[in-house]
Formats: sequence, structure tokens, C-alpha cells
Amino acid sequence: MSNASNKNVHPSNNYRQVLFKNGGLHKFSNLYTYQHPSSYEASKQSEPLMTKSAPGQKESEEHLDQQVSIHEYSRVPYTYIDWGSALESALIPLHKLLAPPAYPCLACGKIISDSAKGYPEICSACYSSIPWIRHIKCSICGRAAGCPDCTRETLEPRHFVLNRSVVSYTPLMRDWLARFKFRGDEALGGILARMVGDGMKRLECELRLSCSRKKTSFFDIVTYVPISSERMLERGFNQARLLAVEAARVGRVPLLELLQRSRHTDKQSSKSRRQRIQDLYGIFIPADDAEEQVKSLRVNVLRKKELKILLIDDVYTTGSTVDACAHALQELFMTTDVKTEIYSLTWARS
Amino acid sequence: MRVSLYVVRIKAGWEMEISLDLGVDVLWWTENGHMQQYSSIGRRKASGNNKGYRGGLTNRIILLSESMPLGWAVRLRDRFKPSVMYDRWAFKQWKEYIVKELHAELAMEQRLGHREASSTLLEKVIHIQKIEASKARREEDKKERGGAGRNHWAALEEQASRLADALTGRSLLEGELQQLLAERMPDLAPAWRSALQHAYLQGRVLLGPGVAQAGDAHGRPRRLLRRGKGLRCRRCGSGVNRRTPCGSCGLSGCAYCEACLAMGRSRSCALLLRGSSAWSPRAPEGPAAAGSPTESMLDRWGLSPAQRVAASAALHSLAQHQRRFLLWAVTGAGKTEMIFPLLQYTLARGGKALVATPRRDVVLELAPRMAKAFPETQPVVLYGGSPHRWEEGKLYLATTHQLMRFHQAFDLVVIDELDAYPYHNDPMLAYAAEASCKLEGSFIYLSATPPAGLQREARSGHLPYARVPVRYHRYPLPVPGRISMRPVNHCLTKQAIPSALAGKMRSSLERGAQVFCFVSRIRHIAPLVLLLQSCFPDYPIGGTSSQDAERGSKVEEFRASRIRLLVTTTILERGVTIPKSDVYILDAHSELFDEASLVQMAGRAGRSQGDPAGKVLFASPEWTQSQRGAIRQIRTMNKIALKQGYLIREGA
Repeated sequence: MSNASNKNVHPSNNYRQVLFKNGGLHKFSNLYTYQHPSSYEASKQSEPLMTKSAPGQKESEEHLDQQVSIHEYSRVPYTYIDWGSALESALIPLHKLLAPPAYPCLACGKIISDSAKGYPEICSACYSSIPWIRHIKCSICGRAAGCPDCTRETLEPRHFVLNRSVVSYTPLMRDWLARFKFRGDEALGGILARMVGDGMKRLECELRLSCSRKKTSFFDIVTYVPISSERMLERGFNQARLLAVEAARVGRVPLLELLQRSRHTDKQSSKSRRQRIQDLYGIFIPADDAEEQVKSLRVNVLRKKELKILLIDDVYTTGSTVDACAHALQELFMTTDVKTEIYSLTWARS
Repeated sequence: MRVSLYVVRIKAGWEMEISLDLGVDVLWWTENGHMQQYSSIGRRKASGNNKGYRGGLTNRIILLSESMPLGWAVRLRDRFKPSVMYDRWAFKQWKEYIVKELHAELAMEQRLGHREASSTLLEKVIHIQKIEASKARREEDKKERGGAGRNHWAALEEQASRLADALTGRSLLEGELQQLLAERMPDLAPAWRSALQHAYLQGRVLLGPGVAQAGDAHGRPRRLLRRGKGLRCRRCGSGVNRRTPCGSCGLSGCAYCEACLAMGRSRSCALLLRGSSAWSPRAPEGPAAAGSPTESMLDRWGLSPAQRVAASAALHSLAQHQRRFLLWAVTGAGKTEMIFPLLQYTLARGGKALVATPRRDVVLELAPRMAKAFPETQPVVLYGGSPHRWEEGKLYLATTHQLMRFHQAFDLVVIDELDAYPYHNDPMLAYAAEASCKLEGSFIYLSATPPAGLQREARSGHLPYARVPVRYHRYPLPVPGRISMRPVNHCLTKQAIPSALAGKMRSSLERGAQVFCFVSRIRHIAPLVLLLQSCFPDYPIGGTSSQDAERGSKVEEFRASRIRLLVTTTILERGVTIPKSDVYILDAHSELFDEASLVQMAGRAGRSQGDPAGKVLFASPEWTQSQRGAIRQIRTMNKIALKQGYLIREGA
């Protein structure tokens, strides 16, 4: 500001005065007409320009009788006084103070002007590009398209009842998951978790239709697919756990860590179907303290006729991971005479 | 990541150190070379017997914690003041000391969900114990007599020095280190912790967390009125305020930086290692450095008179070790040629130089030219996914993001297109650039349209600069004309191009020029292409934008005249050179076109010797400050060029 007030000559005022003095040829005097600054001669530039006081400019009155040179440099100046930026530097803080807070969209990075309900961190364009699975074709694996895997006859018996997924695993969703899981953008994980929470609500609605449990929650326990301790050290978080926390909160179901990995494997996403199934054989085992965890629950779930467990994972591709986990869970409750039913909820179905 | 923390008594007093591999530390402090420091005060020299020394060493290393979150350990280390006073401390005092120092961190943990009292929280972390250094030493000596130990230690020393050499001038996260090792020294990959710890104890590599309290030893200096509190990413300089539970260090409030996630996650417990540049030998004063740079250095490059004057000014600034220099050259002035003598000067003195450009395609375009100019120094080309990622060299060509992987590595950093996205207005990249340059190194900024702040600095004399007011072909820049026209939006609803504009465009097309048509909004492109096509059915017309996957091929078609009129956005305002072209800027009043981008777009015209007077036209309903400023800039440059006699006289 001080810089601006020292040289208080408004250039546009000056140009106009000079222009009119030079002959007053211009019939336009409104702001929008072309009055080019360089339309007065170059020779004038090196001469100090006289200032005329602009009415209402208090500071300029001090310099009424002084000759003020706009340029202190002997060379031809590049610009005259940068009033635009001086004004900006005064106005920007004011604007910032008054403007509503503007957040960039977590998914696309643009400033959010309009966001969907429940998802304030992403813009409405990104929200509308989420490929929600509203209608399923396969009632077992929850795929939106037809599914040859579940009807294949040679298949070994499944250990879980059904799977439901929240979204289709499109390239966009793949990108989101990669950013969350591999790049570590946990802020995006919050959105994914909320989506799983929505999926949880829908799943409960669907299952309750065919069930006697109307008042209490449908599931007794929520658990998730574990990651190896090496991966935990490297990544710092278990993406399935973050999703499960939200699902458990929405469904008001206790969250237990019932499983663990017996060894470290390579990433599933880089393998074929056969490899996946072979690789996963015996990899998930009940956690060491799984039984204590179950016993410490407020409700004694083992007294129930049937125990319903919800398993959470990020992506369902061939179902091998979910099946292996379900198998391990079945084994865990084998000794008790409770009938165990395992359901699966994943964020995406490829 | 979790590390060990211990205190050791050396001659000057106690010192606190972190360790990735305690075994290395124990051997290091009992190693002969350090005995002088280590066996020390208050200890009579009983005899010349080495064993006598070692016998009394047992309580000289106290292990405070075997496994502690890296952030905490570094914080304790950095605040520790070496002193003799600690001689009298028992384990209890050490423990109290740690609790006191970590007070803020413990409070944060409790707030974020740990219900336990701070003492129980620390109970899991702190296990104070003596380290039986002498015992370890004796075992090592026994092995040494067997012939194996000595080799082991010597091998470790050798590995550490190799690692330190590879890390000189780098700033890497643990994950990046492992990539580097896998690629360049796979034999080190399994035992990297030992080698790194050895290099750290030598002082050749600095270890720290990725995110730390600002105002700590390595952070930025505090400014007036800006409280130094708060976390800051030490790699990119951004403020950090997201804390999440972390499975790697076990804290429930481990902070991570969201700004530089794309380069790997920097967090409170992530190891950030910086190769100390103090160890790199200073650039030897070669024969070329004997005197000030000579004019003969400029001869090789075939510069025009204006380029030559500017390059020579930049060279002198470089020779005087000035920190910053601005090369302010109009569009099409041949900036790249002007930096060659500067690179040559730096390389001849044995220094390291880097050219940073904002975009990947510019890097790829520049790489062959650089390789041709410096056949004896192959440039290392860095961008996301570059195959040269971990190579060493003297001359680097990189996108600005890659600067984050360097720490005080370069004697000369050239930043091209200073005012372009993403460098402009990104404090993260500015921080990275500042950090990548050696403390006594220099920056050269290149721009046709420097931001207002720099212009002010230059004019007030704080920033030395040289101006190149004329293009290499020595014809004046085309000055934009102007027509008044309804907004593009309006034209599209009316489905009519104003006749004034249509006439001008037709004459451009008829004279055989390629026509750039810039619009402010991507959504205008497709309908405008249709409308123009109906207006000029004889000419092929195309449109492209940042969202167009086929942008590259469309630009190629435009270059090859298979598209005669290209409707586009500011995405093509820089870096595209079409020999014979005219430029139309529709909606020039749009707030998306600032003065700099108007100048850049106008700079697409008249770039070749054959057609130096291309046409530029601003079409808009309003006459704005930016338009006025842009024309003023162009005219001023032409005027300066005329005055300094760089322009070719018409008809002469």
C-alpha cells in the first residue's frame, strides 16, 4: 500500500488527460474503448509527467504542486506503475477474508462449487461419475454384469453366503483405490469408507427382508481381510480396516480382528486367477487372540443359533481372498456348535 | 519406522544418537579411531594396553530405547545438548528427561485416542539398559583374530562409502533409497540399514523424519509474526496438518504430507535421508576458471547480437557467484541457446548443472538438443517414470517436481518458463528449487513474462537481469490489433461469426497461414469448431484442449498443415512453434487470460524468418487492463529493440 500511495498517479487518468490535450480527437471516453497507452509519443515518456490531483485522493493532494516523476530510471521503463497489482495486493487479503472457504476436490483437484450430500470433499461432477452398483445380476457375488464364475459347476463349495460391492471397479475407481492404497492418500480413504458405510446400509436392508432380525443389527461381528506385518510396516495402514471401521459404525456392530496372515505374499493385483487361488491356500489363519476377542463381546454370540459375520475388503475380483478368509473363519468357529454364516461386503467389484 | 535411541559418552561429553542398526554403533564407538574420543575424561591412562581401555567401557553407552518412533527419536536427538553433567545421571533421570522432552507429543497422542496415561504409553517404548560394548567388542576381536571380523568391518566401511557417494546431494525417502539400491547397487539392498548407519555416523548422510516441527534445525528460518509452530514437510516445505494412525511407527497421530504424495509419502516416521554436500569435493578450479569468463566462450554457440549481450551478462553474474539472475527474453528469442554457454561454463569448472522445465514434453524435446550441444557430458533426463531416474551425471534435465529428490546438489540451476504452471504460484516447487541448489550456487530464471513481483525486483535493482528484446530473426514482435466482438457464448447461441472476425480469418487462411484461435473455455471448443467449419467449409478445422487425449497428434497435424485452423485454450500458449501462423484470441477480456498469457499467445505469431510479421488479433467486447498491459509489453520490447539497434532495418 505504501508503495502505491507514494506514486499516486493513476495512469489511466493521465493518459486520458494527455490524449485530450493532444487534440481531443477521441469521441469515446468510456472505459471500454481502445485508448492505447502508447498512443502518445515515445518522447513524452522520458519527460516527467505532471500530476493533476484526482478528486477524493487524499494523498495526492500533498503532491499537488510537486512534479512527480513516474519513473526513476534512465532507461525506458517496461511498465508504468503497476496499479493493477497494487490494487490486487490490497484487495486479495480482503477477498480472502470475506470469501467462503474454497476447498479443492480430493478426486479431481478443482475448487468445489457444488457437492453431493454426504460427500463434501468431492465435487458433484466427481460424485456423479461414481459407478454405483444399484442393480445386481448375480445374486451371489453381487456383480452388476452377468457372472460366469459363480455358476461354474467345477467350482468347489463356497465358504461364504454372498458378496455385495458398492461400486464397479472402473478405471476411475482403480485410480482412486491406487491413490488411497498405494500412494497413501488417507483423506481419500475417508470417502471410500463412507461409500462402504452406504453399502452397509443397503446390504442390511436387502438381507433383513428375508430375516427375522428386524430390530437389532443383522450382523453379529464385522471383521476385515488382514495384511501382512511387512506390508503394515511399509504402508502404515490396512485399507480394509479403515473401510470396516466405518461399516461397523454404521451397522452398530462390534469390529473384531479375527484373522491374520501366515506369510507375506506379493500383491494380488498382479496375478492371474489360478495363481491367486493357489497362492492363497492356507494363508489366512485365525488370529492368536481371536477366541478371547469373541468371548469379550458384551453379547455372547456363541449362544445364538446362528452367527452372522460380515467380512470387509477393498476389491472383489475372483472371490478367492474372500473365500479363503471365510474358510479360516469357518475353521475358527468349527469347535463351537454355532452355525456360522459369512457375508462379504467389498468396496468394488471388478 | 522405528529406530533405536542411545546416549554415548565421548570426550566432549554425552551425545545422543539414533540408530538403524545398533550393532554398527557399538562397533563404531569402540573402534580404534574413535578410542581417542571415547575413552577419555576422568580415566587414567593405565598402560598402553588397549584392553585396559575397553575393560572400562561398559557403562559408556546407554540404550534409551530399542525401538522408538523415528519422529520422537529425532526430536530428542536434536534437542539434546552435549554436556558432561549427565555423568551423574542414573536410569531414572534419563527416563524423566525423556518424559519431559516428549511432553507435547505424549499430550497429542492422548488427545488422539490413547486412553492410557503417558507413563504407560512410554513404558512400551523406553527400556533403558546398558550396552555391553566391551563384550561386543571382544567378540568382534575374537572373530577378527579368526580373520572374519576385520573383513566384515572393512566391507561395511566400503559399502558405507559407496552408499554415501551415491547419496551425495540427494534427498530421498526410504522407499526411494530402496529403488536406487535395487537399480544401482543390488548387493547393498539386504544390509542397507548397516551401511546407512555407518555413513550416518561418519556424518556423510543426514537422517531425519519426512515431517517435523517447523523451526527445527533443518526447517525454514522463523519469520516475524509467523509462529514457527506446526508441522512442516521437510522435503517439499508444505505445512502439514493431517495425522493418522500409523502401523509403521505405532503412533495414533503420525502426520503425513499431502502436498507431495505423488512423490512417495513423507510422514513423521518416514526416514528422509540427505546426502551431505559438505563431503563432496569443491569444484576444482579448472583452467577455464582461471579468469573471468571470456567472450570466446560465447563464440561457439552462434548467438545473435542481442542473445550474446544477455548471455554475457548472465555469465558475468555467474562468475561473481550472484545467487539469482533473470534472463528476460521475448517469445521466440531463443532462450535455450542462451543457456548453453552458462552450462558450459559450469561444467568446465567441474560443477553440476540442472535445467528445470515445467513440463515433461519440454524435457523430452530439449533432451536431444542438450545431448547434441554437450556430446562429452551425457545429460541425465529426469521426469516421472524416466528410465534414468537414479543415474549420476554432471548435467541434469528435469521437470520441476524432480528437484525434490535433490538437496544442495547443484552449482547452477536454470529454471525455464518461471511463470508457467506448475512452477508459478507453487511454494512447494520454489522450496524444492531453493533446496536443490548449493548454498553458494546460482539460479538463472528464464521467462518471457516474469511475474509482477520479479519485474518489480528487477526494476528496483534487487535482482540482476538482462533483457533480450528481440527475436533471433531480428524482426519486431507483431503487435496485437483489436476488434470489438460479442462474447463467444453469444456467437454460439446466435450461430453466427461476426463478419469482421470472419473476414480477417478468411484473409489469414487465404494468405496460407496456420490460424491459432484461442478461447477461454474448453466447452466452447467443440461448438465453435462446428460453427467455423460451416463458415469456412474449404479449410480443415480442428480443436483441442487439455482434456483431449489426441492432443499430440492434433498439434502434429496442425504443424503439417493438415489442420489449417486450430481452436484451443491456453494449453498451447507456450512451447509450440509453427512457422507461418496468425493468432486470434477470442474473449480476450476473460479473466482467465492474464497479461502474461496474452503475451505468450501473441508470441505464437511471426516466429520464423520467412514470415516475421504474423497477425495477432484480440477480439473482445471489453478492453481490459490485461489486454492493455500485454500490448504495452510488446510495444515496449519493440521500442527497446529499436533503440538498441537490434532490429533489421526494413528495406536496408
